[in-house]
Amino acid sequence: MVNGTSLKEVHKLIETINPTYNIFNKITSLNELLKQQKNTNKPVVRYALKDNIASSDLPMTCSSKILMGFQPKYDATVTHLLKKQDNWVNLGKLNLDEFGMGSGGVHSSFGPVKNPLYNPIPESVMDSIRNNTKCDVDIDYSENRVTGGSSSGSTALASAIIPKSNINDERIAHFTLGTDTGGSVRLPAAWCNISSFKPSYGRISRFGVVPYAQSLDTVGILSADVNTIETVYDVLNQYDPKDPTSMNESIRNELSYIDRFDEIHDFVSIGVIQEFNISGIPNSTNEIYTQVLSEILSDEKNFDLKSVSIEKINESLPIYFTIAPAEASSNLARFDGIRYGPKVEDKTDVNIFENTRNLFGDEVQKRILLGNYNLSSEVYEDKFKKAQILRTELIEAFNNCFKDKHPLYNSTDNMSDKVDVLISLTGVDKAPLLSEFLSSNSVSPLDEFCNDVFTIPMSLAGLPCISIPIRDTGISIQITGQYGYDKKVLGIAKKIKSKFLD
Amino acid sequence: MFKINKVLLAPPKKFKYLPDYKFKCGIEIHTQLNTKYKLFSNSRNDSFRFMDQPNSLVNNYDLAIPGEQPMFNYEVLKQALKLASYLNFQQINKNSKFDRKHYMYPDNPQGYQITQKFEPLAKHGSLRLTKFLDGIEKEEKLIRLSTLQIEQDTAKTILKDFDDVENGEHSGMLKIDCNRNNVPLIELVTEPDFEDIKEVLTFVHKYQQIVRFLDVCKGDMEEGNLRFDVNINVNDHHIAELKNLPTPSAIESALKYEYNRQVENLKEGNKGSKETRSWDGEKTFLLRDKNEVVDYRFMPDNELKPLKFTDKFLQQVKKEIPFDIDEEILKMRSSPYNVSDKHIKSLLKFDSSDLEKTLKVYNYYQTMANKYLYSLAGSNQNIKTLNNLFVNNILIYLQQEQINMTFKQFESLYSHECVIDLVNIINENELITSPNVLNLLAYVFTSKISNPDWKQLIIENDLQKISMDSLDEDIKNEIFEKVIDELDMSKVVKILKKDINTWTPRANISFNNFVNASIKKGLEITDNKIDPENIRELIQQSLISKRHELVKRFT
Repeated sequence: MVNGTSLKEVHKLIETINPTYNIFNKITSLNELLKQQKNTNKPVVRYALKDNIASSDLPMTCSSKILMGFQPKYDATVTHLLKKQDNWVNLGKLNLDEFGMGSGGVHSSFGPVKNPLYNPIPESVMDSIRNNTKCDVDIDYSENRVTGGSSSGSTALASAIIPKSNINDERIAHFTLGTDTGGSVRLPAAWCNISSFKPSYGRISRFGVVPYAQSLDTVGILSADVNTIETVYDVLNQYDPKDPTSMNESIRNELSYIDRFDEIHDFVSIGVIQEFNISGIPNSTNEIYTQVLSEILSDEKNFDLKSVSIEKINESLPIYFTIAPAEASSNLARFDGIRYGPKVEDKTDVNIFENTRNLFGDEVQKRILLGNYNLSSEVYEDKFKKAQILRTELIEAFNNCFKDKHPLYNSTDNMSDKVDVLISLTGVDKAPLLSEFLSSNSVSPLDEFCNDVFTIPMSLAGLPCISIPIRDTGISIQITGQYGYDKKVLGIAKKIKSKFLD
Repeated sequence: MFKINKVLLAPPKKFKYLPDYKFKCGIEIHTQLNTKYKLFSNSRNDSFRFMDQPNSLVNNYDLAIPGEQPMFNYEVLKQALKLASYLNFQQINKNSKFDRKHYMYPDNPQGYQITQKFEPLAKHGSLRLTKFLDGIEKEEKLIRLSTLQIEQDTAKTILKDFDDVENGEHSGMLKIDCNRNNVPLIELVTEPDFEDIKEVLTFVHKYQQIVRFLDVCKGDMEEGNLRFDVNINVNDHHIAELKNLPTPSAIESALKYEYNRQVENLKEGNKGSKETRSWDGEKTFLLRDKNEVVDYRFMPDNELKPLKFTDKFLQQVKKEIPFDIDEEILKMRSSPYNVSDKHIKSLLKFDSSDLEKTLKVYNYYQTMANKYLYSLAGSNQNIKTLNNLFVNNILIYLQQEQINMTFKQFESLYSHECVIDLVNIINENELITSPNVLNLLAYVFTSKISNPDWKQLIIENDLQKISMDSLDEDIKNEIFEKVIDELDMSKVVKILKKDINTWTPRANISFNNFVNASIKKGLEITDNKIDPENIRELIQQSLISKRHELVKRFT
C-alpha cells in the first residue's frame, strides 16, 4: 500500500462523481477524514462500509426510505475493529440494494449504482479537481451495465480507478465491506472485475449489521487486491460475544492449527462441480473458463483437477427463495415507524402501520409477501420446514466432498476422491446492461434470484468462498473450501491467481 | 319516608352448577421471572417499579434497533428449571429451542415475540391439589401441566383518549413503554382438568405460593407478575378463551359469568363458536372477530442457539429447592412436630416477598424443634409449648414496634438452646406463670439481653410464681374480695340466685364470662404471680360456696 492520491483529492473526487455514480449514501466530511488520518507520514488505508453496517458517526439507511434519517448510536463490531486500525479512514456509507435484496444494484432509493468497469471515471474529472474548476461528469451511457448487488456501492468503490494517479490502477478504496447473503459480494465483484471474499458463516461478527436473512448473512470483503482482503480478514476474524451466531472460541482454536496453506509446497486437489455445467452459460464465458481449467489441469506438479458431483446443489435456488424471504419478512417486521424512521402522517389510521410499511421499495415488499406466505401455517411444513431439511442435506453433500474435517459435523461417506477446494464460475455471464436487467426482472419476479445460481449453494452451506476475476475478462471464478477453512481458501486462491489469473 | 328499592334489596343471584352442564376448564399462566436482567439484554428487569419513568429500562435491543442481537440470560434458564423441577415435569428438554411468533402490534417492537413453540423447555408436569391441604371438594386432584416454555414479555401500550379511532376521531395519543419489553416470562399451560371454579382458584393460590417459595417471581398479581388466560367450555359448547384475567376474583367472576352464558346458549340449542373474550368487571365480551384468525407465522429463531445444559447443572438447580411445600406441611402437622394448622400458616406461608426471612424463620424453628425433641426436652416434654412460644409469642413480639428487632438480630442474640430452656421452664410450671413469661420476653427483647439465664432473671425481676397452696385462706379470701370489688356483680348475682343445676346454657356462658374477667383482675392484683388456672379455681369455688352470702350482699 504505497502512498497515492491525497485524502483531500480523493474526498473531492468522490464528492464530484457521486451524483453520477450513486456509490455513496453518505460521504464522510473532509474534516472527519483528516482526523482519522492520525499519521500523515504513514500511508493511509481508505475503506468504506456498506450502508447496512452501523457506525455511530454516520447515518444508516440500508438504502431504504423507511430508515431515512436514522442515526445509530453504536458501532457494529466490524466498524469498531476497523476504527482501531492505525491510519485506516472510512470514506462513508455505500449504496446497496434496499436491505441487501437484489443482485443488480438497482433496487435502491438512492438510485442504481454505475459500473465503473464499463464507465470509468473520466480523466477530465481529475483535471478539474486539480485545477479547481467546475466540471461535469461526462460518461458514456452506451454501455451502461449494472454493478451487481446487493453490495453495489461497495463493489463500485473498490473497483473504481482514480484517473491520472501516480500509482497505476489506484482504486478509490483499498477495500470495502459488503454483506453476502446469497452472493451479494461475489456477483457484483465478478461484474466489476475485482476480488471478494465471503468468509465462513460466523467467522466475522454480524453485530450491528442489519440482517436480511440471518442464517445466511455474512460480512464480505471486497478489494482489487487479494492480499488486502486477507489483511482485512485477519483484522475482522474475531469471536464476538455480542453476536450469538459468532463461531465460538473452542472451534476457532481447533481450526487455527489446521486452517492454513503453504503456497509453495502444498499440493491442491480441486473439484469441478458437474451440476454447474448449465446450458445458460454463453460460449464466450465457457471458453475463458475452460481455458483456465485446462491450464490448471496441465500443472500436475501442483494441482489435481477432478469432477465432483453434488446432486443436491440443483435444489439450492428453491431452498434459498423459501428460506431467505421468510427470514427477511421476520427481520423487517420491526420497521413499524414507531421508535425510529421517518415520521409518517396519519399514524392514527385504523391500521397504524400501513403508511409506514408503504415506504419499503417494490422488491422488498415482494420478498416480504413471499416470506410471509412461506411461513403461513398452511404451507409451513411444505415450504419452510422442507427447505430446512433440504438445506441440511445440501450441507451434508458439500461436507462429503472435502478432505478437511467439518468442525461441527462428521462426514457421512468415505469417498476416496475428496478435494481441498471446489472451483466454479461466479456468475453465468459478465455484467448485463441495465436495460436488459430491468426488463428481464419485470418478466419474472424470480429471475433475479437466478443470477445467484452459482453463489447461493455456498451461502446455504456457510462455506468460505472467494471470487477472483480472470484477468480483465469481466468473468470471475469462485474458490470454495470446507467450513471454517478460510485461510486455506485464501492461500489456494493466491496460488491459483498468481499462476493462472493474472 | 323514602321507598326502598326492591332490586337493590334482592340478594345477588346465587351461582349454581347445574348437574347436566359440566364445567371444564384449563388455564395458561404467564409468570414474570424476577431475574436481575432481561431475557435477551442486559437491561434491568424492574418494569413495575419504573412505571413512572417509561422507557428508562431499555437498551438498543429492547427497542429493536436494527443490527442488535439477542444475548440469552442464563439466570432465566436456572429459574425456569427450578420451576419445571418443582412441578414434576417428566420431560425436561436439554436441547430446547427458540422460535419467533410474528404479529404486528405497537407493543411488540421486533414484530415478533421470541418464544418456544416447537421444542419447549419442559413437557408433562403436574400439580396435586388435596382436600386436606388445599381444601378442594374432592379428596385429591392432579392437574396435568402440558408445557412450560420461556418467552419474552411485550412492551406496554398506554392508550390516552384513543377510543374513537374508527370514527376518524384521532385526538388521542398512543404511548409505548418498552420497560416491560423482553422481560423473561414462563408460559405454563395446563390440561383442561379443572372441574369447578374452586379448583381453579386453589390452583392459582398454590401456584402463587410456589413461585414465591422458589424465589423465581414476586407473585404479585396487581403488579402483573402473574397473568392468567382461562379456557372454559360447558359440555360440547365451543371453547371460549378469556384473556388476561388480572386477579383471582376476576377469574372467579368471569368463569361464573361464562358458565352461565354457555349454559344459556346450550339451552337454546346454540353451541356458540370458538372465540377469544375479555372481562370488563361485569361481563365477558368478544375480543376478536372469530373470522379474523391471526396467523403467527411461527419459525425457528436460528440466530439463537439451542438451550443446552448438563445433567449436573439440572441437579445443582434442584438442590437449590429447599423442600416440597406439601411434604413439609404434612411432616410438620404430624407427630412429633404436631404444629397446628394455624401455626403452619404463619410458618410456611409465602405471601410476603421476603422469602429469605420466611425460610430463615422456618429453618430456625425446625432446628430448634429437632434439638428439643431429640435431646433437650426436660421431663415434661410438650412440643406444643415450644410451637406456641415461638409462633404465637416470639414471632408476634418481633413484629411489635416498641421491640424493633429483626429476625436476624433475634437469631444472633438467642440460641435454640436458650429458647428451649424457657420452654422447659414453662413446661415444669413451677417457676413462672404464662402471663409473666410474656412480660419476661418483653423485658429481654427490649433490653436485648443475649442468651439470658432465665431462672436468674425471673428471680432478679421478682417474677417467681407463687403457689396457691402456699397461701392461707385469709389471703385467698382477700384476693377474691379484691377481684369482685372491681367488677359489676349485678348479672352474676342473678345467676347465683338459682341452683347451679338449673342454670340455662346462657347462664353458664354468662357465668364463665364473669370468671374469665375475674381471672384477668386476679392476675393484675397478684402481679401475674399466681397461675391463672389457680385463680379460676379460686373464683369459681368461692362464688359457688359463698353463693347465698353474695346474693344477699349485692341485691
